[in-house]
Parts: sequence; structure tokens; C-alpha cells
Amino acid sequence: MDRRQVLTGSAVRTPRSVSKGPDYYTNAVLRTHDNKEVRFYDDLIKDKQVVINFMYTQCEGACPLTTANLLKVQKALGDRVGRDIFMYSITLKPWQDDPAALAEYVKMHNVGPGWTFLTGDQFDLDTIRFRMFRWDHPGLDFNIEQHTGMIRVINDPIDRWSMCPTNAKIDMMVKAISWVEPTKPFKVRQEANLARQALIDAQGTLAYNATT
Amino acid sequence: MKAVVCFLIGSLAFVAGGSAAFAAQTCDFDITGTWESSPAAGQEASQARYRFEPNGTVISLMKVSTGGSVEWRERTDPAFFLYRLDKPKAPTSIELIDQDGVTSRTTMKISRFDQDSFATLDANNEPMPWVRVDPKRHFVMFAGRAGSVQSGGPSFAMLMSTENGRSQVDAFGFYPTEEAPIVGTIPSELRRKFLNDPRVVEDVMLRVEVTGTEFARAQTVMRNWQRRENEGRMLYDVPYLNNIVFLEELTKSLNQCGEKLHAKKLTWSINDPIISKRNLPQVSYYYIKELRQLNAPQHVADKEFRQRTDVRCAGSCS
Repeated sequence: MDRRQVLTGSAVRTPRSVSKGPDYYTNAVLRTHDNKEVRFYDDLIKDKQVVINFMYTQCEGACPLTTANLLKVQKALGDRVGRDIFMYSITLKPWQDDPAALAEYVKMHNVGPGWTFLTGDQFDLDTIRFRMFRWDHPGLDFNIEQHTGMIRVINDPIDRWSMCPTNAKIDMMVKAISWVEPTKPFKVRQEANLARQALIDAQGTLAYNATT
Repeated sequence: MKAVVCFLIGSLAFVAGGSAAFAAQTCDFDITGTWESSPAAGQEASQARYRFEPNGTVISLMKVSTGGSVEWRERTDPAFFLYRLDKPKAPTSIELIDQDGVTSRTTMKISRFDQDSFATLDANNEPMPWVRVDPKRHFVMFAGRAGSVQSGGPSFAMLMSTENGRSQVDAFGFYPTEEAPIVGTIPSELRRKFLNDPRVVEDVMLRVEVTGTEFARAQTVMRNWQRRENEGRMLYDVPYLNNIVFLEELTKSLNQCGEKLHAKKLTWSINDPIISKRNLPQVSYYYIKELRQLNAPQHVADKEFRQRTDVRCAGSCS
């Protein structure tokens, strides 16, 4: 950075990370369905956009629908999954779901790359679940069924979070995932709005709503 | 708007029911440790003790009186050396094997078992009870003070072991300070005030004697929360919530293999008599108060406690 840049304020500034960091997310050691050891924050969250849900392999309630819908979401996101969006499913019942059980589940549902299933120590998983999905209502927080039907979306570098039920429409879930992405520049948003307005002018509001 | 709808749909779609999240609950039988067998009713035989080791060996102990006191010493001429359970976690029979490791001396049917006792059937099909021997006595205590509706009073649990007139106490829970309400290890000067039956109406204390295995389960819960305190990994930001969750978890751990304590589960709904009528800072206190009322017959009062344990200062001297 030279004197001119400093004086004119045109220096390129590295954006300061506002991530909650490992103190919040914890660096608990988890195991993937491939039986690899990973640290929760450093390896899975840091500098990434992630989609997280809790599940267990023998769940017969909301889980099968959740997995089916997340498979569609993965497909809708295409090659972004595993490149700039990472999907994680964490077990609620680590005493049942060891890496082998999770691997079997992955195989059974034909889950593609970029979506990792995780297990670990109950203490760590409870901590992580409360930090992601806590309602501040013990009646709900301790009913594990309450946490199988939601996804938490996090963009770590800008600490932007969103949440969506897993039984929502697929495009709605994809939209909820996009909500955590950095805000586009004003000009881009203005152009998008103008394009939408032009559509409304041409088709009418009802027709426009039906297409979006 | 869509986001709100999206959220509400999800909320309505939840599946109701399910148990608390924490840990798989098992009440498996574990024979390791020292057990005392009593002869079946009407039979002439002395009490016997056996120490079952995790490696499959069994050691016979015999009672020796020395200078007025009784000791249990290892026998030099044991009848058998090894044991084998058909299903170690839920046995239906136990086989005792000779020192050659092959010759079976006897096989007894196990008619029932729990964590701290089991019964075998003798040749006449009479049940012979076996009871786990633990030189220590164990107590779980819940204590609290009403405090103010704004900040509540201390409310916590204590785990006490006593042996040979000495006691050891661990205490964890909530206490208010001038700076902030805290959930963590209770300072010793504070817990000492609650080791005896309360003398003022604002205080409440329940003391129940538990078995070694029940105590171990309660210890696991407390150690988990101590770890949460040490690592800054509390479940909630609100200390009152952490405390009531801890106290309920501790109660549940005691009831894991049968109803040790009568307790009403907090539903956190509008029809819950404690949650709906009390301010959050006092919920733990009223939970303990209800526990005390529901378990009054089990409460070990100070005098009874001293008789059972020979601990003169009810733990305050530890």
C-alpha cells in the first residue's frame, strides 16, 4: 500500500472476517461417513458456505422426506455443492450411527459428493446442535424430533445465517441457501429490479408472481 | 413474507414426541465388583462375599474378626476361580469353573437382576439374593433458596460420598452474585450452608441415599456440566435455563433404571404448574421444592444421616 492509496482511501482492504470462530462453533473432532477425522470449525465451517441438518439413519419421521428433498436441493445446486457450498448431515444418535452406518445410509440414498454425514461424541454433538438450532425453549430443544426437519445455512466469512424447513419447495430451499450469500453490488440489484419491473409491466403482477 | 411462511410450514411439520436428546439409556447388568450372597431362607449357611473381576476371575472372600472389627480377606482355598455369564449384559445363568479353567463346578440360574442386586436359584429352586457391596454410602442432594423473583436464589445439586465418617461433596448449579448470575461449581462456603436440613422457610433441601451405580450416573451428568463450564460450552446463554436442564437431567439419571425419585417432567408449556406460574430465575427453586414434597418419605433428615454415615458435620468438615 503506497502513500497515495492511503491518502485517497483507495487502498485495497482485506475484508475483516466476522465469523463467530471456533469458540462458538467448537473445534470438536467428528468423524465423516468415510471414517475421516475432521475438526468442526477448521475443516467444515471456516471460510465456507454450509448447509447443515441433523438426522439419524433409523429415523422414520421427518428424516426420509428431509433426505429426499436435500437430494433434490443438491441436484438443483449442481456443481456448486462441494465447490462453494458444502452440505453436512449430523447424527442425533451417535450411539447408533457410527461411520459405517452413515456410509450405508449415503450409499442407500445415492448421495453425491459435497455432502458429508458426520458422527462424534454426544457431548460435542449436543453442543453443536444447541449452537445451530437452539430455540431457548427446553421443551423443544430436548425433543430431538424437532431438529430433523430444518436446515441451517451459514456463510462463515460474513457470519450470515438462514434457516428453512426441509419440507419446503425445493426452489424455496435453494433461495434460503442463497440468502446467506454476500449482498450483490447496488448496480447489479438495480438492474435485476428493473428487469423484474419490465416483466411485471409486460405480463401483469399475477402472471409475474406465477412465474417466480 | 415467503420466509415467514417457509418457517411456519416447517414448524407445523414437526413430528411430535420423542425422548430427551441426551445419550442412549442403558441399564445393562455389570457383575464386576464385590457381591454378598445370603443363604436362602431356612438354610444354615454363612454370608459369603465374592469379587468378580472384569477378566473373568472370581475371588472368594471370608469374614475375619480381628480385635472387635470385621474384615473380609481373600480365601486361600477357593472352590472355584473363574465365572462365565451366558449373556453378560442380561444374564440368565452363571457358571462357576474350577481352577483348571475347564471343570465346571456349578451352573446357577439367575432369576432376576438389576444394577445392584441379582438372585440365583439354588438346587431347590429357592432364590438366593446377591447384593452389591460398596464400602461407601452415596447421597444425592438438591438444595435451594427462594431468592427474589428478579434474580432467584441459589439452587443446585450436591453429590456426597461418605466412608469411615468422612464425606466428599461435589456441588453444581446456580448461584447469584453481585456481578452476574452463574451456573457452575458451587463455592464451598455456599454449599456448606445447605448441607443440613433448612431452618428457614425460604430454603429447601432434599437428601436421598442412592446406590453406587445411581451415584455414578448422577456423577456423569454433573461432570458433563462441569466440563461445559470449564470449556465455555453451556447449552444456553441464559444461566437459569442451563440450571434447570441440569437438575432435570440429574433427576432423570437417577430414574434411568427405575423410579428412584418421584418427579414431574417440566413440559415448558402453558399448563405446566411451575413454568406457567413462576419467573424463570425461580423455576429451579420451585422444581427442587416440588421434588422435596414428592419424595418426603425418602428424605434423609440430619439425625438419620448421622446415624447412617457417622459423619458428624454433615459434610461441612470436608
